[in-house]
Amino acid sequence: MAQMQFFGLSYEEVVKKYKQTVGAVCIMRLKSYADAEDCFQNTFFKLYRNPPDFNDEEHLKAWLIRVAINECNKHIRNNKRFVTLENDCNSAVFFPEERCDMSWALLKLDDKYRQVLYLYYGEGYDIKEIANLLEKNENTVKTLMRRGKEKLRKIYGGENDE
Amino acid sequence: MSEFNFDKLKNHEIPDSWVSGALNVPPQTEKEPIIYPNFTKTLAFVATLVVVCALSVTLFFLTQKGDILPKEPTIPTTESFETQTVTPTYNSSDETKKVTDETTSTQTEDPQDEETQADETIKSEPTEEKTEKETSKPTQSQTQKPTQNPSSKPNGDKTPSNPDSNNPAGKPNSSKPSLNPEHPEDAPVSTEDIDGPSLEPDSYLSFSAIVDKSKLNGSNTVYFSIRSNDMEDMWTESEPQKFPAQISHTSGNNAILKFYPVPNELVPKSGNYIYCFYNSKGEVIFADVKYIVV
Repeated sequence: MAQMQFFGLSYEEVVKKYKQTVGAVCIMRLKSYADAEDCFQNTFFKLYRNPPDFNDEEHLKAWLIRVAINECNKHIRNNKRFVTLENDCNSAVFFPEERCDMSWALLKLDDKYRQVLYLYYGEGYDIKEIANLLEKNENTVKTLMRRGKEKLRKIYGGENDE
Repeated sequence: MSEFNFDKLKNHEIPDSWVSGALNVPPQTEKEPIIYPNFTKTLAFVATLVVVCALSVTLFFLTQKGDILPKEPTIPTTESFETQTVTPTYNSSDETKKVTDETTSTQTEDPQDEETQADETIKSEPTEEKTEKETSKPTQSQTQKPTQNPSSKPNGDKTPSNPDSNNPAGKPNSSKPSLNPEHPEDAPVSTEDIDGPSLEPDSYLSFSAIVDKSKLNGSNTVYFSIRSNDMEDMWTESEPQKFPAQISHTSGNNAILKFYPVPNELVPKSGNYIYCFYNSKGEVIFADVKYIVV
C-alpha cells in the first residue's frame, strides 16, 4: 500500500485528504450514513485496485467524485426495492437548522438538484466541470441549477414565512 | 445564495471507521472467470445440430422408402435370360440324332429340363452372334418353352425352296403297339391343335409328334405347316407352307414322327408356331406333339 503514489501522496494520504469530499458526496446522495460508508469505502477500493493514469491531482479529485457518484447510483439501483428504516431513524443524515448552512436545506431537495448544487457551491466546480462529472449536458446542469435554486428559495421563504 | 455555506457538510466529521475501512483494502479474491456462452457460437452450434438432425431424419425416411440407397445389382435369373435374344448354334446332324434318341426314350414333357437346356445353350452362346446369324442360322428371341399361343392365328406365306432337300430319308420303324389313339380321325383340328406349340427359340429345329397311323394313307411322310403371329394378313391364305417330316417309327396305331429342321431360309422367326399337320393327301390330321427338341 505504501508503494502506491499519487502525485507524491500515498494511498493513505489520498484517503485522508479526500475523505471529506467523497464522504460529503455520498452523504448528499444517499442521505444515509451506513449506505454512504459503503460507497465511501468502495470508492477508495477502486482507487487502490485499479488506479487510472491521472493527469494531475484535480483529475484525481474529479475521478474520486465521479466514482463516488457512480457507487451511490449503483447502491440506489441495487436497493431501490428495499425501504430501509434507516431513513427514518438515527442513522439518517440530519443537520440542525442553521440558516447560514445550506446542508440541511439541500437534504430537502431531490437528488438531481442536490448533487448539482453541492458540487457547484460546496466543491466549487463550474457548470462545465459538473457536466463532465455527471456526464450530462451543460444546459441540463444549468437547468438543474436554476430549478434547484428556486426550490431552495421556496424552502427558505417558507421558513421565513412561518 | 453565496451567503450560505456548506460548512456543516464539508466539515462534517467523517468517522474514523470509514477511513480505516478504506485503508484496509480486503484482498481481492480471485474470482473464476465467468465464461459466458458466446451467442454466435451457441447459435452456430444449435443451427448445426438442427441441420444434422433434419438430415438424419430425412435420410432415415428416404432409406425406408428405398429411394436413395443404390439398388443391389440384380443377379440374372433364368427368366431374365429368357428375355434375351440369343442365337443358338445349330448343327443339323446332332439335332437329328438327338431327336431320334429322345423320340425313343422320352415321351413326357419336362419343362425344367428344357429350361435348363435353354440356359446352358444361352450361356454357351454369345449374344454378338445374333445379327450375323440372322440370315444363315436360326434366330431366337424368346424362351424355348413349348407353350401354345392361343392368341396367335395361323398364317403362312413362305415358299418352300426344296423341302425334300432337308428331308433325309427315314424309314418307319414298326414295333410293339403301346399307344392308343384318342382322337377321331380326320377331325377338324381344334384351335389348340392348329395353333400347336409355338416355335420358340431353340425349339423349332426339330420335334417329335404322335399321329394316328391310319391317317397317313400308307405314306411315311407327314407335312406340317408353320404360321407366324406377325403375318396375320396371310391368315386367309388357303395353302400354307408345308414341310415334310418322316415317320421315325410306329407304335401300334401310332406313328412317331420325326421332323427335321426347316431349311435355313425358311427358318421361322420368333412367334411362329406349328399350325397344322397334313398327310400325303393334304388332309389335316391330328398330331400330338409331345416335345420339341433343340
